[in-house]
Amino acid sequence: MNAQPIIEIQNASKTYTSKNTQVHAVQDVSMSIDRGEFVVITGRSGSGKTTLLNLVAGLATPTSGRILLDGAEVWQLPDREQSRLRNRRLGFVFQFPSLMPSLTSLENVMLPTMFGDPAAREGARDRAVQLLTDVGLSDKLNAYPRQLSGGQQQRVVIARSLMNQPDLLLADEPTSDLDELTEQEIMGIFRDIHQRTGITVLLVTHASELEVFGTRGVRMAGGQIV
Amino acid sequence: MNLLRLTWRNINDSAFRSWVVFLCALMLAAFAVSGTVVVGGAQKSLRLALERLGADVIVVPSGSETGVENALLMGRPVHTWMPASNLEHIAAIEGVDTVSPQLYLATLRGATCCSVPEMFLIAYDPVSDFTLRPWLEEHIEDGLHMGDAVGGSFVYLPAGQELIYVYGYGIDLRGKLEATGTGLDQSMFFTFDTAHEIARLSTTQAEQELIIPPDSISSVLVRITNHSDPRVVADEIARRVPGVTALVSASLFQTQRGNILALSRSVIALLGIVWVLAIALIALVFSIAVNERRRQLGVMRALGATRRTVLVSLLSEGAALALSGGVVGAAVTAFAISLFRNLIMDLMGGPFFFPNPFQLALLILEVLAVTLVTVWIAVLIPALKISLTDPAIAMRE
Repeated sequence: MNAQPIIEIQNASKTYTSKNTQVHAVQDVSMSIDRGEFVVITGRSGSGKTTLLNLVAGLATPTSGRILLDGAEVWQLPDREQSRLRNRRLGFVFQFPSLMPSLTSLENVMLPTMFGDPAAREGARDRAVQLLTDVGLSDKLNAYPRQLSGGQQQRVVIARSLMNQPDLLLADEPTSDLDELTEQEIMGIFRDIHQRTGITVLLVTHASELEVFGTRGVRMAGGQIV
Repeated sequence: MNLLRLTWRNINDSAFRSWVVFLCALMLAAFAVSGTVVVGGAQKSLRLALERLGADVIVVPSGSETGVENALLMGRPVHTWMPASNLEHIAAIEGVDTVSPQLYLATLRGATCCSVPEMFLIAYDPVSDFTLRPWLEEHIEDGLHMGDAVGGSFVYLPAGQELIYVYGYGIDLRGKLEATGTGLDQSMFFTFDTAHEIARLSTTQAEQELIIPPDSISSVLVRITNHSDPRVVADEIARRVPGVTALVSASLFQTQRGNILALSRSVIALLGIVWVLAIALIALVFSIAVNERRRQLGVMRALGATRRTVLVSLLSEGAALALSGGVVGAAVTAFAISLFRNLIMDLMGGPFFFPNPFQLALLILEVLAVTLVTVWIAVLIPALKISLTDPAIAMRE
């Protein structure tokens, strides 16, 4: 395992302001994640874990502090470079249903290639079929999201997150809407992917019992690491 | 998978939004095409009719002004006569450069001796004529002889015949003039000699005699000298030649001009209202649709779509709907106008020039451009707003 940090969070804070109220979602958080780690961040609802994940992903702007991805500060990059970085180096699994309802499973998995280098589209279909097969959905290639169960939809999302062979997989409460059995299956897929590919995984969840699937557990409360 | 395909899928997926934008674009294009074709065509018709007339002043027997205007505009035959000696009196007036007389005739209705019923016929004097001459010199080098005629653009030989029969007299159609969109397109022009020959033979060949009163003419076309004022010359003609009215060409067709002006004002006002309503409705519906798709668009950004890609994707959806609605609206409207042209002319009380296919295609392209810009204006604000939003905020409930 390469010990060089892939992510460095330095005194990051995020405050949401609405009319007369301010919400300090993340307060002065510092941590680093090494390449190849599987970090599980746990905490109750409102603890700031999803916001921290969004800051790492470059999906939300930090109010203060720095987020470094392989030494580069994401929010200092122009939009085009940020998007390129997200497309090529990051894979996302969201808590909510994030598949495009008008696209089939196969098309959803291939979607990230649409926003990247045109050369990467070569062989995209074969790779997408393989990824869907890996997550056990080889018979659902042409199914639309509405024709899939919640667990099946999350499997498609996992397959999509791996389409561009990212360095870092970010998962936000990927099992929150699933029953216990499906939750175990999905977490098993994450562990399998991590062990098989050595990809760095940052997963946030409110379920502390899922910490065991990772190589390191981090707890958050009140916007801070505890 | 490409942006075009994603756009198409999103259009299908947001059926309500898509139909509203499509119908707004359709209505806008339909109003724009109908307004332009009818009002623009009516204005062009009047201009072409005056050009065809080619005179600065037209002198007609008093009381026949409306009939002559209707004949020239709508092709409704008129029978009006004045002494031929008026020609010399008018020619002698200061400021008059050239004069040329015309006879206004018509074919018979329901008579087998005439190929076409109630066609407006104009006989001209080939020696003094200055209205048809430029066209004839260009198209028929030896001019029109006895029994020859040129017709308006809508004059055709009857099926299976080589001549057009007028009072039993066979006329050789030597050519057709360019379209004006007026009644002149359904009229026929021949020389005085031909007119008198038709009248002479009609006593034996026709079901009814063609009567041209001796030493009579229907109108005098006047061209004035340089630097003369047509109104002054017209006033002088009216003062010195009894029983006639001198109409200044620029002031002809006042009723039709008034109708067109009123119509164009209504069309512009209506078009303005439709335009504003279309923008408001499309902006509202698109805002709702974009709001519903905030998460999807946030996910797209997370997967690597740039702000520009999101913006282009939404503008592409708008463009596809604008163009498809615009094409349908413009094409159906143009077809309907061509189909109901006569009804529209009757309702307007005047003619209008229907554009040729090339002009129509150009107009449709212009209307499509306007429709596209309109939809983009409406779509731009919600599209810009969502594309500039942080993906994390876009994805939040």
